Amino acid sequence: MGTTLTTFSNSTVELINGTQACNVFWQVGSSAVLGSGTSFIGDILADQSITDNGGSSVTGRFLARIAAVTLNNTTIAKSTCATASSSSSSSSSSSTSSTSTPVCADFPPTNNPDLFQINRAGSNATLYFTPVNDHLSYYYIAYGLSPGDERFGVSFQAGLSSGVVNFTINDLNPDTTYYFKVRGGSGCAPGGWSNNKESNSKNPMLPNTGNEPPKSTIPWQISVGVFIGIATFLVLIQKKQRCSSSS
Amino acid sequence: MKFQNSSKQTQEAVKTAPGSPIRLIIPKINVDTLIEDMGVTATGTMEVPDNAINVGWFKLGPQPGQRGSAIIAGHFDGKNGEKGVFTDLDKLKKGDQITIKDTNGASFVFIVREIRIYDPGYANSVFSASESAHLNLITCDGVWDGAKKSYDKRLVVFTDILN
Repeated sequence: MGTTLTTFSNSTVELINGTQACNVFWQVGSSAVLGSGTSFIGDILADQSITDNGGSSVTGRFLARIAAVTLNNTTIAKSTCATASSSSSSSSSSSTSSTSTPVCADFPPTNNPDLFQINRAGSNATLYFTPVNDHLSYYYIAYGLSPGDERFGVSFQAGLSSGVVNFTINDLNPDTTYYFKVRGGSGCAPGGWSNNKESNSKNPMLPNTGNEPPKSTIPWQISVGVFIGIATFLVLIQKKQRCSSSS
Repeated sequence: MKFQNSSKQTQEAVKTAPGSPIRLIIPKINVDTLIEDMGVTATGTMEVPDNAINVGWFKLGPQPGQRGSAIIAGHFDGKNGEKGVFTDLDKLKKGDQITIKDTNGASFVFIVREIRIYDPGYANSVFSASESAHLNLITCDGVWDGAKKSYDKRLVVFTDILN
């Protein structure tokens, strides 16, 4: 836009054909003025000033290079792009023509899973974790090669349960150490992450906790003792014989 | 921390993440020793302390008091033939008590359930998952194999957390 942006009072910006608010930008060569009660969508990038005459609702941002941004009972909402998961169940998905902000109407789980054990066998890893207690439609497991790394991920549908949840991931590199974490989610509302747990390629082998026992010294002592005993006995016999023969 | 107060704490312990284990106490065989953190050797064997006095906790598994099977290993004997911390581990019987203290000051009491003898190598049942908290103690057993520089058996004491 070359010069100015001016909206009538109570006017509305509408998005059509799946356009998302986060992708709308208004480049203004001088100044922008929103009439009272304008329902506005998009980021305004103005060279001079931006003014709301009063009570406008904005999904986006106001950025003025030189002069002021003047707000007057303005309601501003952050524009967010809907993700793939949000479009599946969000009742306010931006995939339809609407003037509403793409807001997730789902509630996230209120508690986080506790990922307490991972069993590795070959290329498989079975994760064991405590369930979330409410607002659940799926679990998502993220894993990578370092703590916090989320380069891999898998989700699976799940309902509420009271026992331990387990899930097996296939096609892992048996020789690689992975770091796993899991969260629940409800529609477009993800829950909080569990703890991050490291898993080496398999359970370790039982440890070697022994050392070589010292060689026994008993045979040497016994042999010496027996030798001394026999020698003493023979000497005594010999002495007795001498005494007998001399008498 | 007194033993008679531990039951309530152990019930709470399963629900919350314990601290790192720092002390192992087994009154039956006069063990009261430090716990070191252990990983896995390059050959895939669980590490053990380099002395015969302390015991080693397998840090890649659950902590004692968490759900699952926590693993602690200790030497059967020392490098100079002296007794190891777990020389008398085979004297434990079903029902004997084992206490773990952690860095949060909490105590967890475990009760011996059974003792098994394994061959060296993998034993997934020792590391198995569970909805409750277990502590499994490992040491060597059997006859010394000079060629392999190892005893030919492993002794594992399986315990359950006191509820």
